Amino acid sequence: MNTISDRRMGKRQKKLGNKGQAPLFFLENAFRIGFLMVALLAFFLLVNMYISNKMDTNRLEAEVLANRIIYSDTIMYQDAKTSRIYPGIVDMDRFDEGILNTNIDYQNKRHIAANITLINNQNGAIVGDIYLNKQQYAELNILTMQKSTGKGSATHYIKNYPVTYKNTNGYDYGTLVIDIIVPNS
Amino acid sequence: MIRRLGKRGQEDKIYFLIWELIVLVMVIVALTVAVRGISNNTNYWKRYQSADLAMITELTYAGQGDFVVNYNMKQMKMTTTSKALLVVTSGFGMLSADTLSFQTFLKSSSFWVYDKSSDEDKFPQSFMFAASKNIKVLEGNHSTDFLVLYRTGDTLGLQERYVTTASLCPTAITQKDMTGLKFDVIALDDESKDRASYAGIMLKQYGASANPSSAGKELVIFLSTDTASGGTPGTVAATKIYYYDGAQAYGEKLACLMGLALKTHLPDKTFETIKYDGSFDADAGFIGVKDNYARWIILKYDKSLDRDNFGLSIKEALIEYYK
Repeated sequence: MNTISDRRMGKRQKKLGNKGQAPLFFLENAFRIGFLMVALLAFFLLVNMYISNKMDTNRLEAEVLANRIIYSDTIMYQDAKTSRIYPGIVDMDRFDEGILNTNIDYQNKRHIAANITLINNQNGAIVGDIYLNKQQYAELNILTMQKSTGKGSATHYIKNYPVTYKNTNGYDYGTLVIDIIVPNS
Repeated sequence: MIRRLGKRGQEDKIYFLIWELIVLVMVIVALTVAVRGISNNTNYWKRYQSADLAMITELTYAGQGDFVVNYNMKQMKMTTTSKALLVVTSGFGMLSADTLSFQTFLKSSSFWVYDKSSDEDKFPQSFMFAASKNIKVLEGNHSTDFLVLYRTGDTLGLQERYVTTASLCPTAITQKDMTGLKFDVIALDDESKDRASYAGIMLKQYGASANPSSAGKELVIFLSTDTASGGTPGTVAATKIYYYDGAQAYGEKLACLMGLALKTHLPDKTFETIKYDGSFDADAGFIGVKDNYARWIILKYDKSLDRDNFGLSIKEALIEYYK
């Protein structure tokens, strides 16, 4: 009577072609193969758990862009004599899509995009509405509206700032809504 | 099994075991290489540096005025895990290669970061920032672990060292004829006596130390050893420059200039300027002397600083200060 060990090794050549030989071999080694797979999986899981090579900068990118819009002379009022910029006072002469895209110029347009809306606080009317990277905003916005997720999609970050702006009757209070959309990858 | 030794086909068992061992070795090597690749992967840090520099650049565009950002990569070291794996695969000699240093390219609207050589690195990392029509970008690349990102006026650039000393330090007017002034360097401990004497000799040719009776006591520099560093290997000791200021930033300007001069001559060392916090109030050698001079400054220095460059830096800082 042959042992399992004999069948596996010493007499393998002679027994080739015997019915049920291959399933028997896998059956014999199932535990060994299973254990190896679990060990390898655990090994890589542990390595990846302790070493992270991923970097999510989306939120930071959005914050940086919002700060650039608020604190730079892009749409904010700048005193012509002192060159001082007044963050929070919107210069309606500069509230223009062309000026915005020239002063904040992402040369690769497939990047971050934003929609800036100025709303009158008293009546809720939209005073101005301009886009940074308008085409990109439209494309990514469709994805987010469809609730698409993952690397191919994008994430919205909406920031509200109380501002003052000048209209024909003088100064008015408003809210600057900066809707930033950042691709997930 | 023993009874079966010598039977035909028995050698197949040996071959099987040999093959098993070969496969085992191959799996161990493959795993080690894979894990080393993950842990030793510089892509993360290249990505980190490019993103960080790009976003700092955006912030300098947002702000008003000039910016100088000292970007020190020395603090970024490989993880213990990667070191251990380097030991496994490459021997103990690799332990010294623990500081990351890249080649950084500033382009018109992006940062590109390569490993040491851009020719060999097939996987550079880049990050974009938004350009502005009002700001001109001076493109260039640098291979160093210390970068200076600056925006002065309408220019953005990247350098390996400080831009210019004058534009960084406070702009208090301190111009004076040095020949009528008396400068002294006083050691606050025995270990500093040699340095104090050396620096004093270097300053004599500029001030009026040769004829102290007729000279106004302008400046005294106190030297004290930083006992915390003690020359212990692996200890990062920063030389501290203490200054005192009234309404004007005279002291801060001097401390700043001294820090810059020291950094120029001793680029591997770190320096920090600190507004005087009373650390030496218990020292009679300091308290009893400082009020005899119009200005004073304290250098609590790292003992490993080269004496000659230390003295030279003090001299240059004073010349710049009174220029």
